[in-house]
Amino acid sequence: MSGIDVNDILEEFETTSRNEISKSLYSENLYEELITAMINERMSPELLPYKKELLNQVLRRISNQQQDLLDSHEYGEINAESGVVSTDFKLQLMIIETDIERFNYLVRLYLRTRLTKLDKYTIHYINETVGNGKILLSPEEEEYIDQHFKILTKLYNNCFLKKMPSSLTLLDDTTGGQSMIEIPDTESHVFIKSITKSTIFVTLDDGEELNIENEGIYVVKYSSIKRYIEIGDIVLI
Amino acid sequence: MYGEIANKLILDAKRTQNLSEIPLYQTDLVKDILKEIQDLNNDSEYLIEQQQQLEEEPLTEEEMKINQCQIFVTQLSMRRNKRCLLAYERLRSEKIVEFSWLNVNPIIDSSTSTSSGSGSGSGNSLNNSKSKSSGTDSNSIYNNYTTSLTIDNLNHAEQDYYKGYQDLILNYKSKFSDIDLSGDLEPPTNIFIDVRVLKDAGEVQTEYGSFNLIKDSQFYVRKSDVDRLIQQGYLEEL
Repeated sequence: MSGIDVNDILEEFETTSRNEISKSLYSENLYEELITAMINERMSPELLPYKKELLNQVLRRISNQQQDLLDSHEYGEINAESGVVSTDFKLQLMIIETDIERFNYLVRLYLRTRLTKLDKYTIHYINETVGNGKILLSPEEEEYIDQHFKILTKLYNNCFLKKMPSSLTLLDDTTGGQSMIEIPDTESHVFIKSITKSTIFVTLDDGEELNIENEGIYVVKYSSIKRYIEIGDIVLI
Repeated sequence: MYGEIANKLILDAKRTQNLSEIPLYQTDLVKDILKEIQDLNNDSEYLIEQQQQLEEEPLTEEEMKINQCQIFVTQLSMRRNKRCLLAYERLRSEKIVEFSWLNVNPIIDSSTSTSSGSGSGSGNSLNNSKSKSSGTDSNSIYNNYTTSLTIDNLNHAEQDYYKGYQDLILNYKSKFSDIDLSGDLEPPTNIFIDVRVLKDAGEVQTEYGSFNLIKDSQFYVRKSDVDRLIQQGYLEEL
């Protein structure tokens, strides 16, 4: 290994690590946003619109970092014998790795939470997505819900529905007084926190008005503050 | 009484809720319920026929009421039975879904899982040990969680469903190649953790070299490398 080569790699690494620093300012935001999105999704009784932009950014970042990590590992291995690699360098790698793990976990929780909701209210969300043009699901999720519904129906049909009188074979039966479609309960109560400077006025069921102050924490019905979550003035906690 | 068999099925489902595995499919109960539904359907058809026939020589108002009430009750019982069946099957399918996310191999033949207790390194006995150990581990979110699955306990349609769902999540996961979607749902703390080996399983290769899984030995390893092994019950986090 010639000296020039090592210097080249070293230089390259320095530029990437500098990029890392400039990126980290912006990634702090990304991280916060992802946490908010994840907690909102976890705490809300119904499915929230898919955060396409955010997820794309995060995924891109994770794959970039993983590439960086791989490159740095290679660099570390090449220079391990010559003693150029300090413990600091290893620590840096550990930090990047921890960071990737952290993002990985958040994305995992976010996506899995969404899938759980899709599984629970399958028919409801299939009807919902057909009905209006709002982008609630990602293309992957749409495929997932369709496929899952297909194999679920097959399961029910094969197990017993096909052996029943024809009047009872429907899965999405709404006759007979009781709907068989499970829908999310938007009337359930949620803990919220306001993050906007201005005060929000919400009319409660009994006609009284609630002033939601900045940084204040309240328990309210999900349906009454739903639209503020969508614009981001209120976060769920 | 109508609906009694369905009650048994629901009791079974209630019991199933807290199990870490999926019990044997209640083929007989389901068959009995289906037969009951069929009987009820015949009854209600007969009643409706009777009502129409007697239109030529109309029933008294009271007889009419009795007839209608009978139809109503049979219809309700049928619907109730159907809902019970659906609830039962839904619970089972949910448990199959839960299990599918775990990355653990199902127990294929129930006879080997009971006979082989010693660590042969085969997937069957390992799953058994996992279901036992999950009961004692109070911190784990896998309490009340479906951690083992015996293929023989599922009926044919359920086996199909299990296969179908596995393909489905495999497909979904492949869209997010950098994210380990079926990983631990507990927040990560350290990238390196101490683990103890619960079962002999030979050598494991990781990025940081290889180590031998010998029962009761301890290692300090990278968590993302051994996540799967923990889920499968080879290792225990300390």
